[in-house]
Amino acid sequence: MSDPFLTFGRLLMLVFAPIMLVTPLIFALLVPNRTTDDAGRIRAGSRMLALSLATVALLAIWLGLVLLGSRFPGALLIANFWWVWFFPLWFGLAVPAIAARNPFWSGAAATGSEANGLRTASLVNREKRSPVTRAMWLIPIAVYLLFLGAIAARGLMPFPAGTYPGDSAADPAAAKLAYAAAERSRWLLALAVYGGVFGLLLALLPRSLRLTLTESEPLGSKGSVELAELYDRQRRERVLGLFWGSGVLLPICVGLFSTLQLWFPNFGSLWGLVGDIGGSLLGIAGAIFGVRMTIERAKIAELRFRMNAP
Amino acid sequence: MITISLTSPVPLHDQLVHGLRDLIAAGKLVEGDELPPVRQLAADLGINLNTVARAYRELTAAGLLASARGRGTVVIATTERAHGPKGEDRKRIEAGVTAVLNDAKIAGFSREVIETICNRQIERLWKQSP
Repeated sequence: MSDPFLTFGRLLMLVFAPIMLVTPLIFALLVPNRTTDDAGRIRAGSRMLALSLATVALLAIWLGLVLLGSRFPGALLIANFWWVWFFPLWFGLAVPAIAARNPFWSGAAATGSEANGLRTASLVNREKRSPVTRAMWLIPIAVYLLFLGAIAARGLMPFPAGTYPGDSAADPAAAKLAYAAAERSRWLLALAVYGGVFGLLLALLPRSLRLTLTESEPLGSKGSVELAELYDRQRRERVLGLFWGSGVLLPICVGLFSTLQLWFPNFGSLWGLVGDIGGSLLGIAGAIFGVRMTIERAKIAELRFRMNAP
Repeated sequence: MITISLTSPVPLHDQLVHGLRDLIAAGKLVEGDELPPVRQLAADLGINLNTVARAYRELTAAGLLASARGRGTVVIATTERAHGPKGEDRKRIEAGVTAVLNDAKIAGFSREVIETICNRQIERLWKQSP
């Protein structure tokens, strides 16, 4: 009987590629068009056309590989990894298309001199105005210690808990020993990786937040309350997003996944699926957060451009 | 807020020093107020770190600011340390005011206009200061 989780996982891998391929085009189409002259419109149009044609071509090749996959398994394997074309599509075609459609999204329009060479800055020490309070730091510390403890505690129990489902080794005793050794190694690796990586992340996070608090926030030639409020809102979201995302959500996801895998190894395909979906959702959440920050930066860039216009 | 001009003939660090002194004199920066870190102010104004650091150092030497580890740069006084013997400060200020009044007279400003300007500034600084 086939494993339903494996089937579902394979299906996910199949739809993942086309989703990744169309994402740059959809994103570029959703960016507001702010071209102001014919040259800009032509440039934006030609870049969007290039992106569209490349997307269609890659999708057609992917479909061909999937259809061939019924006869040649290698073709299906290539189709499953066809999503990597997302990166050249995004960086090579989508980003220039977005920049042509809306320069505020690329950050190019945000720089440049204010009117009359005047520059204004706030005298508020933003390092001391973090939305992350001292008490809040207890949360990521507690999360880290909780999952580190849960992972470490597995070492107190003997390896293994049982045989691998579907195991039909000729020599069950030797298979059990090999499996026990593999499980122990996996435990040590999980402990070292989680303890080391997330310990380091936790140690570096306060500095990262301080740096993001003191990112450049020019207030134009005369200073603007509206601009200052936009900066405040964006900074607050950025800092809180970084704190909750990197400091809490990511360690919870990875810690939970590692703990479940170690304590219940007999449900390997289920945890694989959980890892796939969880990791994808985390990635999507990160992308949504990043896009939201880009939108906010574009609003700020647009406002500064309007303020600095002669 | 503080404003600098990239097109002014006055050096940037002097503009910063004068701008901060103006805020202190007008009572907009009082004892205990924290200034932003050098890195933050330099990034916001789009100027070199050393320019801001030099301005802070000058005001620290004048006794107006102080840097403390963990606290950043803080306003510690609204009157600066005396440069030399008591009479020297008065002579220095009088020389500065004389130079400005000479410039104003040569530029063709009338007595009444100068008096209006001076009174407005006196009103601004001494009314707002504690």
